[in-house]
Amino acid sequence: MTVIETLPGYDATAPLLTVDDLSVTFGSFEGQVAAVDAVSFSVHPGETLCIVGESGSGKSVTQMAVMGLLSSPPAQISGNALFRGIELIGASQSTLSAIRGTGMSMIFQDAISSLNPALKVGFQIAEVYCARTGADRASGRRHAIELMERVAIPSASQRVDDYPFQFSGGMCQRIMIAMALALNPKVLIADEPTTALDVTVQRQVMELLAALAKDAELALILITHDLGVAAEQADRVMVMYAGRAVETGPTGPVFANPCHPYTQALLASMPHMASVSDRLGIISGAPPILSQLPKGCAFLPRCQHAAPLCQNSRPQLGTSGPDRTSACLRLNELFKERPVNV
Amino acid sequence: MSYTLRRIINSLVLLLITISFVFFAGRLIGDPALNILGPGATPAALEKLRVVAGLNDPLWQQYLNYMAGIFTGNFGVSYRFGFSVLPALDLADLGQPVLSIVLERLPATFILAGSALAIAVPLGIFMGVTAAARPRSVADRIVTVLSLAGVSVVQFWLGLMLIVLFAVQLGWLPTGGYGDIRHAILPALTLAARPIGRIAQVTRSAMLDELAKPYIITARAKGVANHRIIYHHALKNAAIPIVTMIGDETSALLTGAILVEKIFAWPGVGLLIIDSLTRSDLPLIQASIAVVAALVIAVNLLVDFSYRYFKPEISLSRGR
Amino acid sequence: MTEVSNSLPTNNDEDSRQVRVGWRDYVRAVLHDYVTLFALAFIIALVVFTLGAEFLAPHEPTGLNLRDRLLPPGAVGRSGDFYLLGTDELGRDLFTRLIYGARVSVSVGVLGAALSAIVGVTAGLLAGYHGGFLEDVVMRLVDGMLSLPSLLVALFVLFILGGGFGNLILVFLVLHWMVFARMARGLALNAVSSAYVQAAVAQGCKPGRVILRHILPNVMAPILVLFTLEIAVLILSEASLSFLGFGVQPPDASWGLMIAGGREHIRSAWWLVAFPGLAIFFTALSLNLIANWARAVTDPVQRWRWLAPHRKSRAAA
Repeated sequence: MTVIETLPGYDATAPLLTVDDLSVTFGSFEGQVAAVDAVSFSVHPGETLCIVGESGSGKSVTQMAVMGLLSSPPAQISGNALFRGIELIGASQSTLSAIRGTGMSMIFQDAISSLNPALKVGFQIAEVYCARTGADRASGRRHAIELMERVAIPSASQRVDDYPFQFSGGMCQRIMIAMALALNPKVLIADEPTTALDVTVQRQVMELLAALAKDAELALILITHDLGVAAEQADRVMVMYAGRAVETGPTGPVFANPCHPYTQALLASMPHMASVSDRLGIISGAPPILSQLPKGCAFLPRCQHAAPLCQNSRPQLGTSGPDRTSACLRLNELFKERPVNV
Repeated sequence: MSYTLRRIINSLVLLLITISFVFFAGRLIGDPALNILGPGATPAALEKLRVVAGLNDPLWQQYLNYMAGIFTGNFGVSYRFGFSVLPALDLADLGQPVLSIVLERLPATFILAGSALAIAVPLGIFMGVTAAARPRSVADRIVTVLSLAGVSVVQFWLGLMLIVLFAVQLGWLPTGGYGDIRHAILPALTLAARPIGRIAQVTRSAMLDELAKPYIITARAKGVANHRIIYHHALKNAAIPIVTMIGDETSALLTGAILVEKIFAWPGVGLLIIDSLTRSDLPLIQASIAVVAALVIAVNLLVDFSYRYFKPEISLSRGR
Repeated sequence: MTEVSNSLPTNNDEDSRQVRVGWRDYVRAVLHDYVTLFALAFIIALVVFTLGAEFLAPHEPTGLNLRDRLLPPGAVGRSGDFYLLGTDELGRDLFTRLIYGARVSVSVGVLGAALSAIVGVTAGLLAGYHGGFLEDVVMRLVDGMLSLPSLLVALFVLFILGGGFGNLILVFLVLHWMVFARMARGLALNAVSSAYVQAAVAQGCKPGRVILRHILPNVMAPILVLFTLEIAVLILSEASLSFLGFGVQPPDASWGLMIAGGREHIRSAWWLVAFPGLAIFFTALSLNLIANWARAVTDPVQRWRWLAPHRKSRAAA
């Protein structure tokens, strides 16, 4: 089994994960559709990056592409994603297998169907641990029990031999987390990990995830459409719309002082934020259809600040403050005069 | 009543219905005494036989006697095997018990069906998995056409062609008969063609379904090697349709062997059935059909029980 | 939007944007699929030759010519006749006999499958639509009969009734209607719970009309696929039964009987066995390929692989 340290390009001093100019297009009946369009971001150890956006904004596809989980065709992927200097886009199956689990791991929204129904949970948790370390079944089982205890599954030593259908949704998500952490990865991508859970369990699972990430100095990439979660957990946020990043920056400043009409509208639609102005904001119009994007700004049809110049060209990300970027053609006139509080 | 018990009872009822049907239908072809003794028999001899064999009793009584015999393992005696002196007075002494004739032939049929399965199951699964791993690739197209070819070929014709090629032209293998492993190669290959195709098809479609499920992405994301994902994660979940198909094909092998056994003069139950049909040996026909039907039903039951292994919900939800 | 939440709107209207696939897409797809195209061409040729045997066959089917006995394929006889596939032990042209044999084999297959389909679909749709006792009886019968060894039962019944064209069809009907019944019942169960059937019932349609006018047209595609497959299955079964002497009886000559007849000469005249077998093989294979294709292009999940214009994948570095 290949070890990460021996892969070409490996550099212990390189940033943990750097994604640059990543695009994903799909062929469809209606022609080529860009699900992800020139997205860039990076994460550092111990940092939590939240990717926020509606369904279909490309946030999941971005991470699937980084993990090498999109099959091509139909997906066509371009750009770069470097894990410790190792190129992930277009990497061979053996390279990807070596990095997955030990370098990067991912958990998904629907934990119940993301677990193999025919295999015992203990086996699933310890599977790659056994395969990589050559551990026998007994020590794999012990490792699985330890991990299940770490994610606070009660009476782990008995439940290790149960099947996924014997667990609740919240417990399944804990098992997913245990599974993803089995080889102590450096990056954990969590794709809406609490969306499919009961509201009462959502918080528990999220707190567990945050605590584990903190303990292990994990870089956590959290995909969510829940702005409350983002505000609580994230060090940085990236807001995506129609396959593009429209605003990035540290969580506090971005939420306190959004520099993009879409982020503004999102925050305005949150009840406790809206209470400041006593008015609930809504985002009018429908989410964009990727195959029928307008020539200019994708958010134009729903934008409060739409102007004639917005029809002409796609806005590019530009600096909107310290360590912040925003993709709005009217960035300077709309957001520049406001005080930027860091 | 437990599920298992209910399944077994259903199967036994079905078996009894089949045996009864064969008994009554067998009477439609005419007087059994005439059948036994042949058209040259004198009326006196015929009458004597009817009395001895109980053929003058009402039909329902004969049926009850027959069924009672079956429960003690007595399916009657053959009209042809062991008949040396005609007209016979005491059938039981002269004709050989049909059940023992059938059971004697079973091992040959099992060997043939077993060899065919030993070829077809691994090959069919491998082909189906290979095709499903890369849909619409060249490998997929080849597997699709090959598996459809296996289903489309006439088995006995394939056997004849193999005989012409390997036995007559090349002289590598015997044309037929029963003996060492060389005798089994051609019939086993002939029998395997269809199950290879069917198993490959069902494996392909079941694997395509499974490989599209979320847990496959999970396994890839946690770094499980590709071949393990395919052969361990997906195949175990795809097992139920595959095992069902293997069961169906096993049943088909037990009966489909009829033609192949005939072509290769392989002394199994299939050849026995053909011989007993052409010689109108009614008790033997009845016993062979009963035995084969029982085997087929047993295979179905086995398949049913194997589901528990592959789908833990089934056994556990019933157990708790 | 009146919903108050801190979540973003979700976009779930993918289905409403489904692209409609027209017959042109199917034609284009089949023209690019050489294997299916071959299968289609073979079946069309088979139908043409079967219907027009009198005009298209190069020789008389019963034209004895003892001077030209057992000639190999491509041979020219003493009288100067050309024999594409050779001749049999009576000097009859094998190609001509194959064309006439197709009539018997194909009509057994088509008639048997059609009758099974009519009985099976009727029983299945009624069972699925009405449910209850009727469904119980039909499905019990279906399950029971499906678990019987069908070749064996067919042999036994033909042994009792005697062989021949009519009895063969009868046996196929008895042993194959269940396949259609099981599928039709499943489809009917789905249809009954669908909006279009419930709307028809709500408008006061009688059950017969609902089944014939509303359910049947919507479940036709999978049934036609099964029908195609069953023709192939029955042609193969007919060959086996006829070979054993329990199927079609001489002077009718099916492909299976021709193989049986050629078996005596297999050491000297392989073509007498090879070509009838190949005829069955290609017929069954073509039917299977067509059914396979039809199933793939009507499957909403898989069909993009067949219908979407094919592009070379570009692996980005």
